[in-house]
Amino acid sequence: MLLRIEGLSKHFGGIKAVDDCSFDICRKQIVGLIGPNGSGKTTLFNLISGVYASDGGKIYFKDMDITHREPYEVSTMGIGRTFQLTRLFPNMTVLENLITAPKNQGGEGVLLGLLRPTSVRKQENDIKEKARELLQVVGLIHLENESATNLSYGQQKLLELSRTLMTEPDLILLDEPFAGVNPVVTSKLIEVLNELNEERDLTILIIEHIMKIVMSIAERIIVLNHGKKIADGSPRDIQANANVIEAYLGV
Amino acid sequence: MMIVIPSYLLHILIVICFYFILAVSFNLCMGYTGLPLFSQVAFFALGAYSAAIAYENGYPFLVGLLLGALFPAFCGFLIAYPALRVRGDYFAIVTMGFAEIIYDVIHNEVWLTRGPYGISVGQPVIFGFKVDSYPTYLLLAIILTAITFVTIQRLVGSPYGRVLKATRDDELAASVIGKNTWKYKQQVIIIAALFSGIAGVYFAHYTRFVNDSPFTLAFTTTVMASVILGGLANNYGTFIGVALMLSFPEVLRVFIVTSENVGYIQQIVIGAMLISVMLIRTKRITVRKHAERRSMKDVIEN
Repeated sequence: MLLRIEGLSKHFGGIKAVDDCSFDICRKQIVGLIGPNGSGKTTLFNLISGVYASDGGKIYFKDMDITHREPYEVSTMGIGRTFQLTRLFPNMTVLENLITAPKNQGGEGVLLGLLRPTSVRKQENDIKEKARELLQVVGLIHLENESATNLSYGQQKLLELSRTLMTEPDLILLDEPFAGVNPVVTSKLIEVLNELNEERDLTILIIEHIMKIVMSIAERIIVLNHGKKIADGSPRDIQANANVIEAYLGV
Repeated sequence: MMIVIPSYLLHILIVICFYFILAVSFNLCMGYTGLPLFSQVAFFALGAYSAAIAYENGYPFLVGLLLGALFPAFCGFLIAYPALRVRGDYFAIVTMGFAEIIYDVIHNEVWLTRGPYGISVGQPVIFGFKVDSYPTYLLLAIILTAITFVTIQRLVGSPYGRVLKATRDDELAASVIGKNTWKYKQQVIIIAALFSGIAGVYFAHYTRFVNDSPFTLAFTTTVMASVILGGLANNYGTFIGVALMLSFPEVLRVFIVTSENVGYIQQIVIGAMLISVMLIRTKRITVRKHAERRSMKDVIEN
């Protein structure tokens, strides 16, 4: 078991954004998270990644309790995430956005940053190399010295995903990674994700509104409505589930 | 042949030096990390008083320097706890409050600081080398300034500095890629406090007298104004900003204005300079230059 959610709740005033939600995700699974607007999908992501503190329930990652951890701790343990509205470092270049991400960089401490011995410089070069390889894969290599704010929307989504991948997560939470991205880039993204899933056992939890994409990429789908889990199963089961059709498709 | 430089000019250079130390530390906070630190005058004052009190008790200059660096740094470590609970403007207000508290302590705790009556400080002696003239004071100022500049410049150009810029640009994004942004912000405050304290030590030994009068908010705003003038997140620009800010009024004094109204004119001119900078440079934070150049090239090619 990689991720285990137990009775997780989060309230905003009277609104139960996430209400007693429980599920498990196994290593290497690709899981789709769907539900109508306001059903608590993004809130769930914010709870898992430590951005919000939960009001009740537990989150376990790799059998460790991460319920009230800070976002940086959660990230360090191996959970990466992207945001629905991309959050880049706009005044930094594309390459800088990526090379900031890897963990355990010696030069990120005051003393080693100041002195920068050969070992630290070597690590920096290795990271740069790796970042360039990734830029090659996602097709942003020609923009490496461009400041991130100048990128198009689709490119920004790609960059944010790449930055998350640079942290080498075991589990990645993708919040509508394909929204507003053109079909060519979308298929490229799906290709990259599938590859990482197969080669590096990357586990993926993905929020996506376009049914066709979710059904094709995810092997399992969890459906939320009003913060409660109303269905959990294979895409085929979900399509046939009466609760889902009523709540989500509204027919 | 000896070239004689008028001591008035040396004095201005010295003042530029220690203001530059403060400006670079402020730039580390505001320009690179996005922290509007309003309490630099407090760290500066703590440094000055540490040195003055150390001197009064018979300790040599280097001990005063060490105390005057470490004590403000420790205060920076402490003030980070309440100040970093809030962000942006509120952070500015909390740190400004801290500066006011330090001023009040200096003003009122007469048993320690002698308040407005002040403490006399001697000239520094470093390993038998006496700093007792304008050229030697300038030399000391240049050494301290160079240490500060090189340290901060190296830091902001390292992976450490990259995390600071990431925190400035989007703190949440920085934290979800595993950066402990709180820790970085605290460290930056400590570093700024340390160097501001060093500037204070120098100030005490240079003016050879400290009392409460210079350590008001106006001091911090002068530093801020010169950083903004030179361009945030740009330490070379900051130097130009400081030099302009401090030498321009002197130029006015010499050429145009009579001594009675020089103060008002200075304020008008500084205000006008700041407004023009704000209007001309709408982009507050300098994007790396080659990135800009590259995008211009792309625009032309496409």
